[in-house]
Formats: sequence, structure tokens, C-alpha cells
Amino acid sequence: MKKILFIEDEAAVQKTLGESLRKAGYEVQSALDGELGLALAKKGEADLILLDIMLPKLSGLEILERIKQDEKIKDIPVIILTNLENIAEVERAVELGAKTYLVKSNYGLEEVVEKIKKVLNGN
Amino acid sequence: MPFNLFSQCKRYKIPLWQCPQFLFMIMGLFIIVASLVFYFIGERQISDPRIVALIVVLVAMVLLIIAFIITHSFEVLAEANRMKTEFVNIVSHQLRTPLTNLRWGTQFLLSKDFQNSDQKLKADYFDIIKENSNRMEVLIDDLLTIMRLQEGKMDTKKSFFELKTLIEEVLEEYKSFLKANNLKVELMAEGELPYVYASKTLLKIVLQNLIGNAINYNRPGEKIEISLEKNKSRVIFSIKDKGIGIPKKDQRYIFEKFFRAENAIREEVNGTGLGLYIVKLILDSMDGKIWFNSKQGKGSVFNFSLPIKNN
Repeated sequence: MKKILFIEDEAAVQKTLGESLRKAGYEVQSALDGELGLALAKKGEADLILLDIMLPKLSGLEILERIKQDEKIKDIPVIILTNLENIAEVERAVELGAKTYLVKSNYGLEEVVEKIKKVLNGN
Repeated sequence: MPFNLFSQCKRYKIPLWQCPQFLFMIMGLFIIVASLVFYFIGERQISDPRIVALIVVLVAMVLLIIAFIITHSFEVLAEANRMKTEFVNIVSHQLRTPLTNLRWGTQFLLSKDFQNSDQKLKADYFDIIKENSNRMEVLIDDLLTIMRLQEGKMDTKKSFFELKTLIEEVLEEYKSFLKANNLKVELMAEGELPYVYASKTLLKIVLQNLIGNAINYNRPGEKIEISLEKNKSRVIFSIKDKGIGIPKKDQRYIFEKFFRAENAIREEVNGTGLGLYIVKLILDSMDGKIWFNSKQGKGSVFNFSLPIKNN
């Protein structure tokens, strides 16, 4: 079973998207803040990391930077999941090495699950 | 023309001495005056070229200073503009988050996954929808309050009234919530307290926010204490809770727009990050002062004071 690390501080998003991914057959590990998220990422167990940008303690961009600096985990695909209006900031995430980004409010739940599936199958 | 200039500067919402149009006018006037003075004294003093040089240097210095202030004033305007964009960005983020939750929550309720879920999960989804529509409502209310305050469209008619009665009115709104959560609020207002002269509508918003915060952040079962006192010239309101408190490093940001203390986010207390900003905005507009003491894990005391006016 493929494992997804889901770093997102919104408990409701963790629930809705997390549950849908579980129903789609993935193992989902949740982190509600940046520090915990990075610590779990460093274990290198995930096949994919879903990352929010506005996070308490450590921002998503910082986490992304540290992931990409870490030889052991730098090849794990990262998808940025955000609701930020400021596309410049989001695009910076792609420059830093994120696979892609999804603006949450632009997609329905099923579409997001589909997009995540695609990235996971691409590997 | 000068009328235009003043109204334009007023529109920027910055002081006159920071308004570029005004500063350009000052610079122009200064150049004209300096040239005229130069022309008239030049007739008599031209014999000594050192004096001419000195005057030129002085005029150049003043022009340089004005030019410097103008550059700075453009920076202030640019900064205000940047902050506006930033504000719009954050607002849209804050609005989209509950919207996403509502959308994804209902999509799950409509999916076939929902049929196969247990009761607990189903209940969680209904909670998400209830909570997020609530959140949306509070956020929109707060944003509208700020907009109305900034545009002066709020009912700010002043009147004389008793602060104590207004507090009791606000507490009445929270009555069922207090009962349901087994919270007690004690109101201590001894002796004869003077009336305040202020906008009741605005002060009610202040009280709703401060009392609401104390209730939301308090530990279950703990008592909240409200006291009213007066000194020579002011009425002082304090509200004390035994809640999660504000971490020291977060205290200086607590009145900023959208700021929420780290522990408030961590403990998932709902909030928009706008309440205390609104409180300060209102109190500032009525010669009120606000201050607080807080210790993380122990609780907070928020105080404000208002000038006493004799009827």
C-alpha cells in the first residue's frame, strides 16, 4: 500500500481529503504542524508528500527546501496544496522542486484525489 | 486646485507632511520665495560672492531635505499599497479555507463512500459543515465591521449610558453557551460608577469580543471575572480568564490583523484573528486605552479604560 504524508494544519481538510485518500486505498499519515511534518518526512517512509504552505511553526516552503537538501528524501514527490491567492509564492514552491501545486478551492474532492493518484502512478 | 490637493491627500489617509502632492507644492513655493529673496537681497549684497555661495548652499540643502521627504512619502504610499494587497491575499485565503471545507465536506456526503461509512465518521462530516459555515459567518461579520469602521459607516452616535448594563446585555447573549459549558462569569462593579459617553454600538462590539475571547479561551469549569472600577478621570474595565494565555513572543503582535497566537492555533480554538484588531481600532477612535497581562498556560487579563464625561 502506498503511503502519503499529509502536512496540513486544517483539521477539516485532514479529515475530508485524508479520508477520501484512505478510501481510495492509500495509507495516510497526518501532520498538523510544520515541525512534526518535517520530522515525519525525514523518516523517508512516504511515497508522496502533500504539503500546505501556511503552517504553524515551520512554513511549507521551508519544509520543501529542507526536504530537497536532504539526500535521503529529496526524490520523494511533493505536491503543494494551498489556498493562497499569491501565485508567485506558490510558483516559488515549484522552483524549489515541488512536483506541482493545487489550489484547494479550485478543485472538487474527487479531482484532487485523481491528481494525486496520477502523480503516484507516474513513479 | 489647492482644494483638490487637500482632498487627494485625505484620500490617501496619511498625514499632510507625508503627502507627495502637498510636499511638491511646498517645494515649489520655497523655490519661488527663495528666488525672490535672492533677487531682492542680491541687489545689495552681491558685492560679496561668499554670501551668494552661502545662500545657494542653504537653499540647496533645504531642497534636498524636501526631496528626501518626498521620496520617503512615496515609499509610505507604496508600503500602504503593498499592505492592502497583502490584506486582500490573506482575506481571500481565509475565506477560501472554510469554503473548501464546505465544498469537500458536502461532496463526501454526496459520494458513495458516505453510505459505507460508520456513524462516527458521518457525524464528523456534519460537524465540519456546521463549524465551517459558522466560521464563514464570523469572518464575514468581522470583515464587514472593519470595513464599516474604516469608512466611517458605523452607527457612532454617542450617548450617555451605564457600562454595567451594557456588559449585562452582552453576557445575556452568551447565557446558553455559558450554561452548556459550565462556565461562570462574575461581574464585580461596586459603588456608584459614572456613565460613559460613547457609541453604544461600538462599545458593544468591544465587549462582545473581549468577553467572547475570555469564554472561548478559558479552561472548562474555571471562573471568569469582570470588574469595573474608576479613577479620577477614567472608567476601567477588566476581564480575567484562566485560559491558555498568550505566549510571551506572540504578545507584541496580538492586536495585529489576522494574527493568532501559536497556542490558539495548536489547541484549535476557533478564531479569525480579527477580534482584538477590531477592539483596538474602536478604542483608539474613542480615546480609549487597552492593555493586557498574560501568561501562557495561566490565563489573561484584558483591560480598557474610557474617559469619564459628566452629564
